Amino acid sequence: MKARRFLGALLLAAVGAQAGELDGEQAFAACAACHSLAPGAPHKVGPNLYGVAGRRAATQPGYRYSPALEASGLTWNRGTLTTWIVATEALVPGNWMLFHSPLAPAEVPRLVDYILSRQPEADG
Amino acid sequence: MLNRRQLLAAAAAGALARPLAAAPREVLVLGAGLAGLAAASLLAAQGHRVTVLEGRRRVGGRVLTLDAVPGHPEAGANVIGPNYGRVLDAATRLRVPLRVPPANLDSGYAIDGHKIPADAWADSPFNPLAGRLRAVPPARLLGPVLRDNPVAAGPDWCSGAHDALEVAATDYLGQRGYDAAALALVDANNSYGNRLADTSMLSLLRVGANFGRAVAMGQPVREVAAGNMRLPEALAASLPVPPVLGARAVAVRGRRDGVEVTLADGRHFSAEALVCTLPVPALRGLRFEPALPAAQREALVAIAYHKVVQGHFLVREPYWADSGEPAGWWTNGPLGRLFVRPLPGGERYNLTVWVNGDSCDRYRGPEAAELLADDFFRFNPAARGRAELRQVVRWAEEPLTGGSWALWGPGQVGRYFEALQLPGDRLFFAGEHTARANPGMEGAMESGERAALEVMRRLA
Repeated sequence: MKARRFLGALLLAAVGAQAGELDGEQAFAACAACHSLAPGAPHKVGPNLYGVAGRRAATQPGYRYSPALEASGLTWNRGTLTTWIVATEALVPGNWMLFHSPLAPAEVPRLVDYILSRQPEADG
Repeated sequence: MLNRRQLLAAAAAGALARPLAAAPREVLVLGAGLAGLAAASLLAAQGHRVTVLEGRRRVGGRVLTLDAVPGHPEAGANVIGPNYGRVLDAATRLRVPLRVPPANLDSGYAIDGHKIPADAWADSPFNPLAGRLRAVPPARLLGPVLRDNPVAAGPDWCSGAHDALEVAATDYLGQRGYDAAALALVDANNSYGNRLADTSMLSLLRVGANFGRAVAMGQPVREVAAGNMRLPEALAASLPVPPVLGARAVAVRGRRDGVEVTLADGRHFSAEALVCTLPVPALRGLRFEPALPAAQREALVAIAYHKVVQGHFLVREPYWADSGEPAGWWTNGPLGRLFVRPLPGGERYNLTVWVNGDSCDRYRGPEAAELLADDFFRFNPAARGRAELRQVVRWAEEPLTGGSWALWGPGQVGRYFEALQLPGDRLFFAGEHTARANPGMEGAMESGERAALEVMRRLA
């Protein structure tokens, strides 16, 4: 019994998601139609997000951003990505990402961690 | 099944992405329109066993390409906006070729039967508009109020933050200088209410905001080259299990460990979760046990659907060329709007008569097609012998649809938007009427995606 509880706790710690919640990769299903996370994959309706951590907003070559996002001065990090996902329009009014987050509050940080983990150095 | 040691090793290595969702579960989806197919695709990709039940003998729902008419015109969803990310991604993924649609021919205005070329509108004696609205074309009469659209850059239209806009469009516009003549013209071809007085201004501003954002992107709209219905067909074909056609659900019963659906033909299907994507009028014919919550039942009764009648003509000769008149028309008469576009590589044209709202009531019953053709040839006498009515589609009279899309009356967004999609324990709702960020085809797919996430959570 003890062992099973221990196993359960270990699994949850490793996965970060509790039963009834989505992990980061699952939550990315709400993003995946518009954003690729694979290195070198083409932009879709939204830009490729591989390596987005620490990048200034609206600076990916080959993608046409809204003037609103270009003028935002944002740099993508845990804080800005979290706000962008849950309150896109409030963060950058008039941007072109038509998105309403279907995620539970606890799922958003996991999604952000998942996106931020897709970095060249994290791959090594 | 992994043993404990393997689990521990995998967990320690961080290699086990999601042990709880790994076991495939049974999921049912009602409706093989874009919402149901989007939900089914995502759930199948998660490894779940998904069965889609479709009442019609075809997939696509309100995506309906008239394949029997040359030029295969669209009778349902017709435009893929540049920001329709899910639709465009599905088309790319499934190799469904898209194209920029051929432009419609120029159109003029017909007011009380008087035909006015577009460039003569402002000075025409038949233009009933006054003051600053006089030079505004009838099709763009909402333009002045959309210029400072409070929904364009602000909280979501359905967030409850826009209660002040949940008024009758006639009142809102009336307070902004639209007189009776102007309101009548807005009412004539209003796509978001059967009557303008029953239309929430919030609904019109929502659509205006979406349209404005799409236009700002400066990219063309698209359509599926071989007909929009090829996209839901491709989605259906990509599922591990094809949708069950002719499977009209009549009852949904909650069980302790799942959900059971009964079809009109007596067959039963069971699963651990159900995504119901039927439009509201079809939902009314479904028996739920236990009953849905009272707020949801009230919403299902209250929400009306938009009436659209389309008459699809094939034009063999450009009958408008003799007179120099435009081919297309925006009218305040029974025919609504006439859109004309050339068929590729020939002299022929598709002409769509598009009637909105209560004007559709004229074309009910078995004589509808004959009456519509009579009205058309009376309006365009030169078309006799050169155009023929090939197909009439009446969305409000389609029993499995009951209209083209959900309408929001004054106060109804706040009162019913959330109630319409209240999830049950194992019952989840999707469909265009539950979409938040996007309208149309993209809204349908967005809603299916959201419901799929709800199921993934429930089965995790």
